[in-house]
Amino acid sequence: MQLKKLFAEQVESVNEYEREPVPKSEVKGFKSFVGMVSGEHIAGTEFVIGPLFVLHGAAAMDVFWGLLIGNLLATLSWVLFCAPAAVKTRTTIFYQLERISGKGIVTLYNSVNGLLFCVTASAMIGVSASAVGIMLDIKGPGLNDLYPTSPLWVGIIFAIGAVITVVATFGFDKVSKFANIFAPWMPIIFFSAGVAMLPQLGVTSISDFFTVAEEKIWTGVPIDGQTKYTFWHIMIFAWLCNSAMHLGLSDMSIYRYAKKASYGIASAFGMFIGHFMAWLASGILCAVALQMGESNPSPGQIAFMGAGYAGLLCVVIAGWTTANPTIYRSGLAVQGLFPKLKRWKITLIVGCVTTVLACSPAFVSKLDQFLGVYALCAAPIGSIVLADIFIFPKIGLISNYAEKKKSWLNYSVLLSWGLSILGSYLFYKGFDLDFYFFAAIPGWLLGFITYIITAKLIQSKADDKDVELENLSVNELN
Amino acid sequence: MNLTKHLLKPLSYFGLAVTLVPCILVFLGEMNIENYKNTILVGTSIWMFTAPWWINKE
Repeated sequence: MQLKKLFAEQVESVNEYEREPVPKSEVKGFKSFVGMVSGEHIAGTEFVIGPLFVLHGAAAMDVFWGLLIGNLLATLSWVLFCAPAAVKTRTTIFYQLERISGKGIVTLYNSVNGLLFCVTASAMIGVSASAVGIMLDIKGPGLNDLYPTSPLWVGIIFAIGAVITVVATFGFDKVSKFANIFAPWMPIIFFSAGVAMLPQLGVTSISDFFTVAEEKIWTGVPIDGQTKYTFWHIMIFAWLCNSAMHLGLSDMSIYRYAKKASYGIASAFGMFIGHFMAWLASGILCAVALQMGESNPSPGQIAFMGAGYAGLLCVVIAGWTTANPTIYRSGLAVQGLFPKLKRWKITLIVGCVTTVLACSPAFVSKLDQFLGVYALCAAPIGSIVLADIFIFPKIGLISNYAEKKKSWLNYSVLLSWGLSILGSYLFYKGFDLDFYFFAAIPGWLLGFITYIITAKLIQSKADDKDVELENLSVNELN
Repeated sequence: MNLTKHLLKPLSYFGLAVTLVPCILVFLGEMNIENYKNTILVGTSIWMFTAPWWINKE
């Protein structure tokens, strides 16, 4: 009873400023962001993505240059777009979008985003479960499986989902503290696992590495049934796999707490440790698994092979530290739909939905495709919000139009969002592309341009109407 | 004596070192895989039991 009361007091006291700017007294230091983003981008799913490049037959040099340039572009996207927008408004993307587009659009966006976040977090839970399954000797699904393998495995999913949900319910502060504890340790496990497995592939000195990498790890030859990944696939994937967060601005939820916009550079820690070193390390582990005859390894199996029980712990915790902020973000998205409901109650519901979704391993095995769809749908909203915050005041257009006009629906946002998704889909089909991510940047740019044009048309039409109304009332008075 | 500064924090970093060094020894052929896995588990345990006491208080 006492515990219940304590929990209620704790969660009721959490104020996350969902519908107001974060006050200056609440801003956090640089270190807080380093811990948060390092933990978030060193996820259990790195044990899925690194192997994907191996299975899809990427060549060694394509992987190195693709990851280097792609991660640099991703970091710049946070530094130049997301963090400046967050620090200028100090609001979440959800609340900012509501001010720009009205309740109508934001309801649709929040529903889409809330669901997409749930699916991402469910993949993290699935990856964590693959490690717990090995500890308990329960066979989990492999990287190519689409359905759960046993009721016991589903039980593991529910146990992990419960822990993650409770931590996320306590809000940003607790999520950040949880991630901080593991942030320095996780990259060391990934690094250790990759380096320790190199002799198994025949690498005994640093000078051997590139020769073996080309011959045995990133060979340039895909395994049967997989498409070929080139430099462009790797670069665009590294840049845009988190596009909903940087170009799509959903990380405004985090960076609105930053003292300065330059804190966006903290994301480099997540990118170059999590999406460079960890992807290379898990690629090495996958090559060893393939050499040992395991063609469908689970993330847990790969981690256990490379680092034993410490590796399994790493997969579980890496899954948690990413799923936590993702569920937190999803809670914020759904909060926009039910502003009167407490955020912790919403996060609890979102956590339960995520846990149920996690029972399907399809979200893990199709992770790259799912992230591509996510990028196409969510990223254009970021370009619309950026235009509204930074471009509109310079060209004399009204920012936060829906809020000022007390409008439920800003048609220029609806039109530009719809056109950008349609445009990127047509681009994908028209050029017969094999990767959704290739269409994400054209869609993002289309959203930016069409929003400025449609807003100009709609706002000038509204101005004409206002003038007509003014003239009418003057004539009536006369 | 400040227990955190003089004992827990150095112990945490020692745990990280115990987690990091064995992979290099395996790479150099100075340690076998089983010993490597056991040693990094010890390093991990040291980090996990000591770091939570100070890492969020700085």
